[in-house]
Amino acid sequence: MLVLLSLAFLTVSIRESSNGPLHRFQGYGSTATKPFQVVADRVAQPFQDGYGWIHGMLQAKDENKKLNQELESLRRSRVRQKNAEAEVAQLEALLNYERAPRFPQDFREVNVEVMTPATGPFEQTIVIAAGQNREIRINDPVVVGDGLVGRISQVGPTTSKVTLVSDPTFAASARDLRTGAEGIVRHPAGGSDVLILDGVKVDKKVREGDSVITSGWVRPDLSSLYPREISIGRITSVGQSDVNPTKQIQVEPTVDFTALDAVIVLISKNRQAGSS
Amino acid sequence: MSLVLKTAGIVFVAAILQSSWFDGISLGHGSAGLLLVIVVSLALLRGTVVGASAGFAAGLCYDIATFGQLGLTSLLLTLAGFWTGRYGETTGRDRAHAPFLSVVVITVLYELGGLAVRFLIGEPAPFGKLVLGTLPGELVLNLILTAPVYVFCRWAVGKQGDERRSSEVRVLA
Repeated sequence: MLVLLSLAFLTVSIRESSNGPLHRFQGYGSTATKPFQVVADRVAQPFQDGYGWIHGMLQAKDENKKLNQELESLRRSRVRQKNAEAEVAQLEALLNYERAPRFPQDFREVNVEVMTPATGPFEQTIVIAAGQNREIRINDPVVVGDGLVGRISQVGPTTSKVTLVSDPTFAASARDLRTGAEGIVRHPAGGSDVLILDGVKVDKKVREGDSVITSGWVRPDLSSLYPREISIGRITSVGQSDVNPTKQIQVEPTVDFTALDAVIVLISKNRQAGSS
Repeated sequence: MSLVLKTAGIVFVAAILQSSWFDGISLGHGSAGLLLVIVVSLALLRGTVVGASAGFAAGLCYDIATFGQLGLTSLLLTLAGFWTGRYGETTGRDRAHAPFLSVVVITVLYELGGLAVRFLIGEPAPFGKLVLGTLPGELVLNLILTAPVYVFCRWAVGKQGDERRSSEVRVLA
């Protein structure tokens, strides 16, 4: 009887749309369990902090050395970047250049606590503590300081589900920051941990260590879900074969999906203006 | 009645703890499965009916709390609870190793079952990642949880048949 009931739930939840009654029930149920999860989280917080402190202490020395080197490099590149930015701004003004929506100018930020960490070997999702009450909708991009986290895949009254970049069903248009080579970042078949940048032609000169960012393309009738220039990851290996017209590029995400405490949901200002 | 309330309470708290805390405790790629160990322990202690019911309720609570595919965890934990209950009522009765053996076997079957269902409904089902990445860590963490969880469940709901044993001897003649 219980097995049949489970099968019925499973069948209906697969077949119905994300606005169907069972998904709505799930949204209300998630809202009802939210206070208990918050309490459990508060109780667990001191233990998690203690673990984080010990773990951080062990890594601090190595990280300090690495960060000092990185700081020097960033100081140098900042000066170059300032000059380039000024030049680009001048050229854009001359050309009356149209751009895709950019973060943060064209988006409003909603800072949200993560209620449920990434679960399971199959589905890489998290649950966050905001939903329709904060005007979050399906497909809104989710980021943290380190880069792209994923997109909203289900919205409840006060909670939402985020499909992470590391989920097998996730894909985003992306480009290599140095060369501008465009492709699709997605999870490879077979369950590997790294991502792949698919569709980059063999003549593009991408190399290990290059940063991969969202391309944020825009067309008259359609645009990318994600704003331009949000970091996705760093290229860890590049390969090509004689028979394949595209390169095999592996990308390591910049975001540590196992240590997400809070995320930022980006809500387009244009959408808000259009809907109100 | 008391047993039903206690079991429901344990299952609900376990589902909340699993979704908010234990999913984040990982070894390799495997995360600790408190909910599964609770269902296995309840099934061993109280039999098939309690095991299957606890599994169903636990799966439903967990899927709701995590926005999971509704019915998937319920299906797997119902079967896990039923089979463990059956083992506890027959071969595994009064065996000290039964909780550990059950947790190992059920963890493997639970993950393989999840993989099979996902494959059937057309979702990604990476077998290699499961066997090499997830299962070893999950087995270790679940085995660490087994003894304290089993002792707690035994203290909370008792063992089937314990209540039928007489606590004193009455002289008839």
